[in-house]
Amino acid sequence: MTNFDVCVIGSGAGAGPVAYTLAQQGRAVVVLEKGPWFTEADFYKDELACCRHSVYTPRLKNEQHVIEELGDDGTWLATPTSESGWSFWNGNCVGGSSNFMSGFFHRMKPVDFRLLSEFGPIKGANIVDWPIGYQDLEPYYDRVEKIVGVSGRLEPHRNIEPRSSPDFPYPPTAEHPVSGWIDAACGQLGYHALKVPRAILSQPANGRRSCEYSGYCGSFGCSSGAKGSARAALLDRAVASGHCQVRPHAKVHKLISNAKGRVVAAEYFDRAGQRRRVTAKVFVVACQAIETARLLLASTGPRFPRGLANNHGQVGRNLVFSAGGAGGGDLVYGELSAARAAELRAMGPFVNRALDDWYVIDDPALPGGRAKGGIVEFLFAHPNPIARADGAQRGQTSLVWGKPLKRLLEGRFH
Amino acid sequence: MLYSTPGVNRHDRRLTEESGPQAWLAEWSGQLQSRRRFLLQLAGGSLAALFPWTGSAAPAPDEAARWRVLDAVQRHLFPSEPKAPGAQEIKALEYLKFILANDPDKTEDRRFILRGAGWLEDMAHRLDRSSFLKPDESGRERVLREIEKSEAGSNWLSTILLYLIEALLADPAYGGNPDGVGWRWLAHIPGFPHPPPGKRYMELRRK
Repeated sequence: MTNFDVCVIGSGAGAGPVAYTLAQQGRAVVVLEKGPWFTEADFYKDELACCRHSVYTPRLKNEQHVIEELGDDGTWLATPTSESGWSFWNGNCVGGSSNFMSGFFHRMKPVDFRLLSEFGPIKGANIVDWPIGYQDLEPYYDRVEKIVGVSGRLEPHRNIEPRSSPDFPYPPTAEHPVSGWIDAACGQLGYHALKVPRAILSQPANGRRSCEYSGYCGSFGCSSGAKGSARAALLDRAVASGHCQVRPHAKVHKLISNAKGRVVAAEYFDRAGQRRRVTAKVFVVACQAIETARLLLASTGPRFPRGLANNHGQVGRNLVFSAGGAGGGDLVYGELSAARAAELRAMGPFVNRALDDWYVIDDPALPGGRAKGGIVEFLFAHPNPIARADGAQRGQTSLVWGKPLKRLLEGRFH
Repeated sequence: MLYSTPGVNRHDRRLTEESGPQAWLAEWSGQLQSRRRFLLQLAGGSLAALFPWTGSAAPAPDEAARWRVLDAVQRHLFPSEPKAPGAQEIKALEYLKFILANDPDKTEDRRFILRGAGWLEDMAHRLDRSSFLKPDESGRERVLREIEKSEAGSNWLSTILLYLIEALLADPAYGGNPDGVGWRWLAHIPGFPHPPPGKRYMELRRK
């Protein structure tokens, strides 16, 4: 079939819920994904596959980004990632980068929808309040937690957002002993440790197995199906409904619009490089912020000389980042009691602790006395051993090898 | 959704989560420049361009001889000890051969590594009038430290060292780290399931 009710371009966290919902309602849906279709049977705890080679992302020599940097002399230097080797792709396969997430499913809070009115303007920025509020989205947050499968326990907390369900649909995932240390430390400091819900099943459901606690979660594909990727949680079920077809290796390069300004077809290249076309009544472009903008801008037509949805020149602008920073520390085995050291060595369960005491920061030293803060999430360093070892061979002035290198490696791991 | 930073280290780059954006950009910029220089040198192609002092102190070794030199280099860079595995125990050469033979993206690495072995032999003949395979440990150290002085030689040694670290800690499915000997030495707990043949990274790319 080439004629569908709905054609969804992309298959990740944005596309998955759309395809799932429409397929459940009996609409004929086609999902076009430029990458391959991996399943649980393709995901192993293999650092070379997950993190050191382009397996889930395009090779940079084939698909590059160009990064512009402002130099010290005020001129911009453009460098293609094919040359730098630095990949900005996050996961181009069925389910997108949600295959490789850690599954932190924090809801936004009511204040996030009113940043302008709550915190005032920011010079040079065109910040506005959302046209909808938290209460408009709450039913959807609730549905996502149930359908994707979020595990956690709701406990009274000072910053908790209004919620229509009394608790999360699945009990919490198993917790690392260090979580108890964090609770105790926060109690002493007067902070309020928050138990973090995860989009990871703590018990089998909907044909997916429970988490198997390998200790290798974020940036790895999930071998059990417990992680609530758009693929495992949504697209597999959409396909099972009989109303959704997923086409991997289908790279859409243009949306075709007619003289009336309606989009009538998506044109893509298949794996063999053949040009293909699907028609549909409705098109959903959900291939991440940058690629969505790129596709819209490339899709010029009789009524859209500057690209789709771009009559005001706003496509590709106003990119909003979720900014973050990180700090770290070491827990030194030699300074711990034998019992605590044994606890720390536990591998597999999740830390699942965060602080949102500074979600909004009230401080007279700030302009207006107030600023939007965020969440402090506690995590262990990623367990990938090659990443942990790599760098020991680079000394201050010369390379390190031989027995000195081996002693450095022992120091990094023990 | 939050995505944890995997410590994505393509080639031998490493940026820690602790780095601020300024450090991040500065480091990246530095890496770009050194990568560019490196590629330019590779593009130059000839050994003479890569290693300015290359002459003809000895006849060029054939491929089998180059692999023997690489074996000796790996054993020197990662020596065996009673309580800690060396290149021999982690099967570093087997790993290197497997990756270079099976990953089509590594043709450039393969060429660079084998050429470098020939050049190393040449340097050994210049310094010691003998093969790198022959001198004692201190002689081998002297030759390797000598080639480290050039940027290309340093790049070559970095490449060999990175493959050694991978052989030590990558999944045994790739030919190194037999029975997890490297993981055991460093008390590293690997995750399950392990990749079987047919599901290694270069094979998954064909999916």
